[in-house]
Amino acid sequence: MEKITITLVSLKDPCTSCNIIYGLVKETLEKVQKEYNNVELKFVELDHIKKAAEVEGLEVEKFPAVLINNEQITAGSLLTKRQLVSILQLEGL
Amino acid sequence: MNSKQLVLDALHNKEVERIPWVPFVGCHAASLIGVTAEEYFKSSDNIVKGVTKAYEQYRPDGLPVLFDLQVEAEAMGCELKYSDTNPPSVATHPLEEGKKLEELKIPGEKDGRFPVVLDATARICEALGDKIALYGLITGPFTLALHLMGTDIFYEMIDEPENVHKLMSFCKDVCINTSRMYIDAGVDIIAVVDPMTSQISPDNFAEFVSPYAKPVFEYVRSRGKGCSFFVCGNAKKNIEEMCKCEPDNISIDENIPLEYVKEVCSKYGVSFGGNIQLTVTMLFGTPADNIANAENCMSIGGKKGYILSPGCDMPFATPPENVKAIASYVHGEVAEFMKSSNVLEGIDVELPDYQNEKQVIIDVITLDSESCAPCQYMMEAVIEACADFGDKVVYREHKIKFKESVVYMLKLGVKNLPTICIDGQIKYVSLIPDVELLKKSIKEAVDLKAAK
Repeated sequence: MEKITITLVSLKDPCTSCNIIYGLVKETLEKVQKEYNNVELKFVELDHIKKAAEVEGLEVEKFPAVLINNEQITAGSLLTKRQLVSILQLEGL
Repeated sequence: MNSKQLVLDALHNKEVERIPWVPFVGCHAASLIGVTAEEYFKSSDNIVKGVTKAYEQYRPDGLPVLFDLQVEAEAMGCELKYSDTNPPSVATHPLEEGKKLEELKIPGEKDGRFPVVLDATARICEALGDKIALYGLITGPFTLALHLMGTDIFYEMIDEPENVHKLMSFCKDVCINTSRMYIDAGVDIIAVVDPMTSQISPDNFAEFVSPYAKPVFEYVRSRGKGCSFFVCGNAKKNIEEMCKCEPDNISIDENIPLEYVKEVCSKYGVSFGGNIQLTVTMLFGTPADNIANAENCMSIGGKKGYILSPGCDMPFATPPENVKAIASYVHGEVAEFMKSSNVLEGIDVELPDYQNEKQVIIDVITLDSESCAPCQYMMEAVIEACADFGDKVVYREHKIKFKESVVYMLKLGVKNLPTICIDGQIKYVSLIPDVELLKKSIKEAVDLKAAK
């Protein structure tokens, strides 16, 4: 089965809302990883907004951001498990 | 002019003589006193020290006593993950782990960290309560529901809406009780902070949030206190629904244009606040950037029904100089701030000999007309006014992001931005002059020079 890489990108010192969203999204990613062994998770914390340009596939600089195989799918919004699994199935999960 | 009254008047949509300034100092206070965020949030002594330090350094008209949206959740059984530089985050959701709603208890004074929080609140209110407006921040019902249930709530809203209504009703009761505890401890304003409402549609907001947020504001008002509805994230679509919940005030972050919020809130008689950029400006910008952002916000907000504040909880590592820069602008003391910030050592600038120069010289002191709207409008007025005078007049913009411009500003005696000086005399301060009026002033200077 082909490996799928999910990257969660956050900014260091996020605001309260981003902090809450980050925690919920991270939980969702970890739940999915437990069920699908071809899913690899990467967590990237940027210590400056300028470093966003170094993240492959990151286009909209709102955080936390989720990328699947270097393609951005969220920018500062929540992602539920059902939504994530639907997207991953399109990627060949 | 009493700071506390300034905030309350603005909150209640009255005209004020100066826009009130309320920096949302949460975990940032920990950095002011040299402790970690975890040490801060767990100690009433540290909270009191931190808020007191913020009051001394930032000259606010109001302050939150604490900015932690996890207190209620922790008291009801959510495990938290603490951090050195952020508020704690919720790591478990009791209702997702099998606990029943009926087993949850509304937290009281002795539950979780409430003893710490309420002790700190009472002490801060005692020390600062006659000077500034003090905000008690409570977790809004929807964010609290998310903490208790996790993201499954979004599917329950479709599949089992009755369950969500029961949960939201419980959360409303928690909100009312937390408000009661903060009010009993002495706060002036309760802010219902519900950032997760930015993730739902207006229809879902109207069905699942409004019926449970509105009673909280009704309760707070019945206690004679002010109430505010805070949201962060892109909640533009929900501003109207938020207004319908009848808070006194709505506070938003940079994701929503302030002009839009002003327009919607004015229809409902609700005041509004915000929305200095947290990351780009407060955390990573310069003092001049912060002054520019504050100026932009204040020029949009105006002196009726507007409170200047950051978009949300200030980041831990926000440079204090940036916050002090905003305070200096609010209090009309930018020049003094620049002088005291020691950035000008070794910079020397000669003013021209205005009286003996052939041309009339217009000096426009700005933050930066490329990034600050009032500065841009002032420059445009100057350019248009000068066009009639050909080479008799020359104009120059002095952007205070450059140190030489700051020295120029100080030597001219300019205190506020933007300002127009004509031949070294301060003529127009902050307000953009009508072009015809400006032409008249320039002509007077040209005629005076010609007569010599």
